[in-house]
Amino acid sequence: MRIAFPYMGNYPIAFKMLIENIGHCAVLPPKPSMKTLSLGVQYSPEYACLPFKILLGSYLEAIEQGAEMIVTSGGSGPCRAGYYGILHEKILRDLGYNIPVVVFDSVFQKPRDFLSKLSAILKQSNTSWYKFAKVFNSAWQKLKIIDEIELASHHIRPLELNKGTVTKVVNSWLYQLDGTDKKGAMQELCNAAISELKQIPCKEGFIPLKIGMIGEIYVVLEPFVNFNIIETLGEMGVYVNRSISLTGWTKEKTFFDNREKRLAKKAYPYLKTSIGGHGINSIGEAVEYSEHRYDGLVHLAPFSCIPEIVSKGILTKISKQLSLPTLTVFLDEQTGKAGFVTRLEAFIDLLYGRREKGEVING
Amino acid sequence: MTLKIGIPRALAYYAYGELWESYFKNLGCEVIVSPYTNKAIVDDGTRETVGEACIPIKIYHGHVMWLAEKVDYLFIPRLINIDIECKITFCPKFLGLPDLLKVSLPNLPNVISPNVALHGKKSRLMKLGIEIAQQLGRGALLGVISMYKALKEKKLPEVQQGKKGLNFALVGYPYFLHDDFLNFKIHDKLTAAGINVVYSSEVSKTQSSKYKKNMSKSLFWEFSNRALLATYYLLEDVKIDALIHLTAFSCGPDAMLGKLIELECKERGIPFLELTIDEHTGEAGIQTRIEAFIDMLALRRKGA
Repeated sequence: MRIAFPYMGNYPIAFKMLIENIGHCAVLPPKPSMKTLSLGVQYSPEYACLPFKILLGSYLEAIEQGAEMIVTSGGSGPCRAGYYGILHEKILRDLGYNIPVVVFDSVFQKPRDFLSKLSAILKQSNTSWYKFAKVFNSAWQKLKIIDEIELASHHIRPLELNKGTVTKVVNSWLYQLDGTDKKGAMQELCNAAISELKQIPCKEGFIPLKIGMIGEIYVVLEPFVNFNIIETLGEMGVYVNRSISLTGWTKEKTFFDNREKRLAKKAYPYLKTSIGGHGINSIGEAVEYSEHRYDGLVHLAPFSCIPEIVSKGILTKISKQLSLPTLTVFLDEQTGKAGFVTRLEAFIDLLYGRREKGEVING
Repeated sequence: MTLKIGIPRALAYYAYGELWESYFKNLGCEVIVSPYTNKAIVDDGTRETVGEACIPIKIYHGHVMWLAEKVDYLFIPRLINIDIECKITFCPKFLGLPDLLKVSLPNLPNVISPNVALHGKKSRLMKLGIEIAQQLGRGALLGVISMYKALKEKKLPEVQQGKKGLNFALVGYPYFLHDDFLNFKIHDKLTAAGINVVYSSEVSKTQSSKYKKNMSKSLFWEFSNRALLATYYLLEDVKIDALIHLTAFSCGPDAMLGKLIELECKERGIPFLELTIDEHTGEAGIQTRIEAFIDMLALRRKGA
C-alpha cells in the first residue's frame, strides 16, 4: 500500500524507513511550501490552526503522488490536534478522495483500537509483529539521532566563524542518515556527525545570547512555518534552546515521564490545571528558563491555538515577575517573513542592550 | 451577615446559571448576577483580556469587572468535565479561566473557584455542594441539601418542535444563542419573517444521545459535542429547512464543529449559514446576511 504521513521537520526520513521496512511504499510528500499552504488554506475551515491547514495541503500533495492511505497520530484533546485526522478524512471525502486516514490514538488509552489498526496494516504486507518491533526500534533510534544531531547543531551554530557551515554539515549527515537503516551504522553515523560539528571553526571568547523557545509543537518544529527561526537566530549569533523534540513529546505522551510532572509543578503558581496541547508545559518551561538564567523567551503558536492563547495571557505576568523578556508570535498563513524577522531582530537588540546595561547575568 | 455571591452572566451561566443561583440562595446567600451584556461591559473586558481570546472570554472579563466591587465572593468555577465520558472536557480557555482572570484583573475580591469534574455522577455534584458550603463557613449538610434542592428545582428545556412553515435551526453555544448582545437578536429577525426558530441548546441529551453512533470519536469539548449531537437531532428528527451556525471569531473548537456541521448539512442538501461575531461586528451586516439567506432559500424553494 502507498502510505503517506504528516510532514514535520527532519523526522519524515524515520517514518519513511518504518513504512518501507514493513513492506509498504512510503509516499513522502514534498517539504511544506507556499503551494502546500495555499492548498490547505483553500479547503480548511478559516480558523483551523496552521498545522491543520498545512497537513491538509500536504495530504493533497501526497494524494497527487499516488498515496492510498494516510497514517497520523491522534489525541484526546482538548487540543484540536486529536481530531485532525477525522476532519481531514471528511474534507478529503467531500473533495472526492476516498482515502482512509488512519488515526493512532495513544496505545495506553485505547490499546484495542491502536493494535487493531496496526494489525490491519501489518496483515496487508504479511509483516509479523516481531519484524514490526525490530523495525520500530530502529525507527525510534533514527528519530533520536535526528534530535541529537539537531540539538548539537543549535549549540555550535551561534559560534561558527563562517555562516552556513553548521547547516551544510547537518544537511549532509541527515542525507546520509536517510540512506542508513542498520542500528550500528546509524549510531556510528551519529558519532561522526557530532564529531564533525565539534570541529567546525568557532569564534573565540564569544558568549552568545541564550533564548528559550516554547509553544505549540508543530510551529516550533517545522522550519517552513517558523521561517527557519533557529537557523536565522543561530546565524545572528544567538543560541536557541528548543524545549520540544519529537522523541521528548512521544515519551511524555506514551511513557511515564517525569518531565511533564516537573513542568506542571513549576507552572502551578500560575496555572493550576492542564489545558491541553503544550499549554502548561509552556508555562513550566518559562519558569525553568528563568531559573537557568536565560536572556529571553520566544513563544510561538498558530493563530487561534487555544492552549497557547491562555499561556500567552499568563506569560505576560511571568515575564514581568521573573524579569524574563518574552516575545510571543502567533503565526498564520498571512504572516510575512520580513515582519517576523524584523521583530526578532528588534527583540535581540533589546536583549543585547539589557546585557550591556548589566541587567542580566549570563554565562 | 448575608454573604453576597457574584455570578457573571456569561459563558457557562447560560447553561448552569439557574442551578448555581438556586444553590447559593438555598445556602442563605444573596446572589448578585451581573446585568445583561452591554457595550460598557464588552469594552472593559476587551481592554483587559489577552488580545487573541475570543469575544465570550472578553465579555466574561467585563462581567467580572462589573461585579468585583459589589460582592463578597465571586463564583468562577473551573469547568473540567460534566459528561460521564472523561475525555469530554471544556475549551482550554474555560480550563484556564480562573488563572487568566488572576493575571488580567489582579484586584479581585475573594474568588470561589472549585474544580468541577463530575463524570456524570450526581454524587460528585453533591460533594461540590459540600465543598463550596464549607468554604463559605456553612455546614456540609446544608451544602448537600442546597444542591439537592437546586437540582430538583431545575427546569428541563422544552424543545420547540418543528411547526408548519419554515423551520430554522440556530446552532451554537448557550452563551451565544441566549446573550442578545452576541446574537444580535437573530431570533426576533427570523420570527418577524415568519420563520420558526429551534435552538440547539434546547435539545436534551436524551433526545440526541442516539446519534453518538454517528461519531467515531466524541468532540473533546462539552458544548461542542452537545451542539453536534443536537444538530443531528435537528436534521433527522425535526427536519429543519435551514441551519444558522453562530460562532465567535477565532473560536478554536468551532473551527472543527462548524466544518462538521457544514458537511452534514451539505450531505442532506440543507442550506447552511455561518455567522462569525466579534467585538467589531455591526448589526447592519448581520441583518443583510440573514435577509440574503432567507431570500436565497425562498428562490430555491420556488425553483424546486
